[in-house]
Amino acid sequence: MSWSSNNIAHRLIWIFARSLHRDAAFKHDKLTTFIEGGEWNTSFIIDSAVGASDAERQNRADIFARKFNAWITLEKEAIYEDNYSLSSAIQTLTDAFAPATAKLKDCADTVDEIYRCKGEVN
Amino acid sequence: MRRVNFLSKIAIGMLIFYAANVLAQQQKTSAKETFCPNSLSAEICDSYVMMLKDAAATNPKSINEFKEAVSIAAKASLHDPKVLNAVLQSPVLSSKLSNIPISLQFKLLERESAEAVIGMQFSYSKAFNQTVYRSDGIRERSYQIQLDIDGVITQNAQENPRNFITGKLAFVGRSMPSFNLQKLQAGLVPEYCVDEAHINDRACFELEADGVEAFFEPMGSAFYLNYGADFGVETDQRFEAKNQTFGGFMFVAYEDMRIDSFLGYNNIKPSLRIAAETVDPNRETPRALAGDNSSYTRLAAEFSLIVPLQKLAGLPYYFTFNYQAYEEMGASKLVKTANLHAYQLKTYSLNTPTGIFVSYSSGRLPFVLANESTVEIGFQTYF
Repeated sequence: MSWSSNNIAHRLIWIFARSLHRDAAFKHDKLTTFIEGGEWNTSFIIDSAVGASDAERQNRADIFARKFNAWITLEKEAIYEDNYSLSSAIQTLTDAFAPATAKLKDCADTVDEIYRCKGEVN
Repeated sequence: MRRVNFLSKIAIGMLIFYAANVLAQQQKTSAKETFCPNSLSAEICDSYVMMLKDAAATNPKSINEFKEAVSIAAKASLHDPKVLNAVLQSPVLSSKLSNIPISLQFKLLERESAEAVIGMQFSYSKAFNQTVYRSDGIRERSYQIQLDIDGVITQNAQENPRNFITGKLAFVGRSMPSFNLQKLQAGLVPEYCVDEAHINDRACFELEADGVEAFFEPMGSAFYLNYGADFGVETDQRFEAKNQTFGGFMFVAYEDMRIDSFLGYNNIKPSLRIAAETVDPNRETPRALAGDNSSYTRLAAEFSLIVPLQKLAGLPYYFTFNYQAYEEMGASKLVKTANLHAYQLKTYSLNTPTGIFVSYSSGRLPFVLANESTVEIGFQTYF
């Protein structure tokens, strides 16, 4: 499934990403739209410096994954899908966000696979 | 004349594959939708149309001449990494590549005194068997096995200023904040703000962002600590010069979740990784070719800093700094004289969420003999 505002998991990962980078999401009196947000680089979202090594990027992705997992499960009351746990959720999210060339829209389906969000229609 | 090698063939193959798919769609859709359907990026559409226009402008007298003209135009497209990356990310190719767990990105490497070359950055990261063995209290402790491979390859290895491919298999222990946080007070962030109808709503954006800040603020100062041991291989792109490494490392990142502190308010995030490792070089490394093939101990360090500039300087960019250093301990006079005992690479950049605005890097990594400076503007990279 492609990047879609019809998918609550996609909306939640966008809400979280833009909330961590609100200066970048709202500038020149314009709010970055959901569609535009899909083009955000994950390197930017996870706070990885340009030129950083793979190990550094992996560590940054792990930190982002832990924060997102805490927010979506505690604040947004999402639960893990049957084949996921805390460890596997963090690990899968980290692998999705770590690559230097990934965009947010590339990771959205992974988020959807891991979490059953509140109000999600199965 | 530029030599077309395997990288060029890959790129040409992708363009032909893409063009074939577009032509297949041509039979089902209108001309406008065929050239620029909404599902495809503007870069691909523009490039495709320009390619056909350039070919037509040569006034071909036969289909074979037209094919040749298209082929020449396609080769010209190889010098635009924006187009190549857009092709990589097109729905047609990305659906095929999504099963390959390697991240790819093309770069155009413009050198000061040589022809431009296409470089392809690749990376692969995979964590295995992450296990949380303690999560009570304020810190969570876990371990995992981690595999990382990355590098940049170019048409000719001699033209590659980042001719340093690494592969590391690591056992990683982690000590992280446990994120035992509380749900915010009901009503602080209205539930309707996650609805599709409000996803681009300015008021909801502010409420959700305030909510995320309030959610994490009780954590205060957060230290993220990783440590462990890794085994690795470093090589040039010809796989001739190789180092085998084994050592220990520690990574620490700091983040202040409070918005009433300088670092927290400005969202400034530093991190540091240090490692000590033994290096076993083969006979093709620059060090061995200089006359010293012995194993040695090396210290490695990497420092990163992220500084959003909006609040600090009113600029809509993020400044990042990355510094990598490698230093041989107790290097012989021979190695020092050849200047092969220490390597440093510094990278400064201004970023936007969708890419680099401008970056500058200087220095070198192991296997590269001379320091080089790089200026990268958008998708264009100048060495």
